[in-house]
Amino acid sequence: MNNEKETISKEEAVATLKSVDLTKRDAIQSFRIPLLLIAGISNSYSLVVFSWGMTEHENMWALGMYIGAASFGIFVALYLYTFHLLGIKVSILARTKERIKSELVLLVIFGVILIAGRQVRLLGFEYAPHVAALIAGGLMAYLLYKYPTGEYLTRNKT
Amino acid sequence: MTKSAFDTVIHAPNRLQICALLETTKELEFQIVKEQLDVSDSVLSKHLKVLEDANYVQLIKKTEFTRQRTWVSLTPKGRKSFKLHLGELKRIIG
Repeated sequence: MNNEKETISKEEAVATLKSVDLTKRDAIQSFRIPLLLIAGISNSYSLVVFSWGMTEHENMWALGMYIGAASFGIFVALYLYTFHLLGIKVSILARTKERIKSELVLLVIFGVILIAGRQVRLLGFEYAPHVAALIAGGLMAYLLYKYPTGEYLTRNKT
Repeated sequence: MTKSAFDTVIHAPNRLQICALLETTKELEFQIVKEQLDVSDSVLSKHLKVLEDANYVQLIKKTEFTRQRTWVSLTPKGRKSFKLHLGELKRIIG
C-alpha cells in the first residue's frame, strides 16, 4: 500500500463522495422487501393504533389491539427472515448517533400519533382514531419503503 | 479520536464501495456484495482479504440448511475508519 497516494484533489474527493452516496442509495433501493410485507406491517400497526383509539374498557376493540400487535410481531419477524434469506442482516439496534437520533424522533412521532388518536376522540372528535391509524400506517409504509434497512441516509452536500 | 484521516486501504474504488455497502446493514452475504459491485469472486475475495488484514471487515462462514454462506460485516474499527475517511474527503472539499 505504500505506493498509493495519501491525498487527492478536491475534484476527486467530490467524485468519490458522490460514488459512495450512489452506492449506498442503489444498495438500499435494491434491498426493498416485497410490497405485500410492507402492507402487512403497516396495516397491522394501523389496526393497533385504531383499536387503541376505540377501546373502551374491554370492548371488542381491545381484541383488535391484541390481534394487531400479534400480526405486527409476525410480520416484522417475516420481514427480518426475508432479509436473512436474501443475504442481508439488518441491525435492529441503532449503532450510530444519527440513527439513534432519528429513531428517537420516530418513536416520539409514533407515540404522539397513538396517544392523540385516543385523546382527541375522548375530547369529542369521533374520527380521530381513523385519522391517526391512516397517518401511522402511511408513515410506517413510507419508512419501510424508503429506508428498508433502517439506515437513514443524508445526501452529501457536494 | 475524532480527527478525519485519509485511509489508502479504504480509498481504492472497489474497497470504498464494499465499505459503503456494508455500512448500510449489519451483515451482507458474499454473493450480495458481489452482485452489487458487479465483480468476480476472485476480485471480491482479493479486496476483502486486504480489508480483513487491516481488521476493517470480518468474514464468517456459516452452514444454513446445508448451504454454505459467507457473511461479511464491517468491524467497529472498519466502521470508524470509513467514517474518518469520508470526513477527510469532506475536509478536502472544504
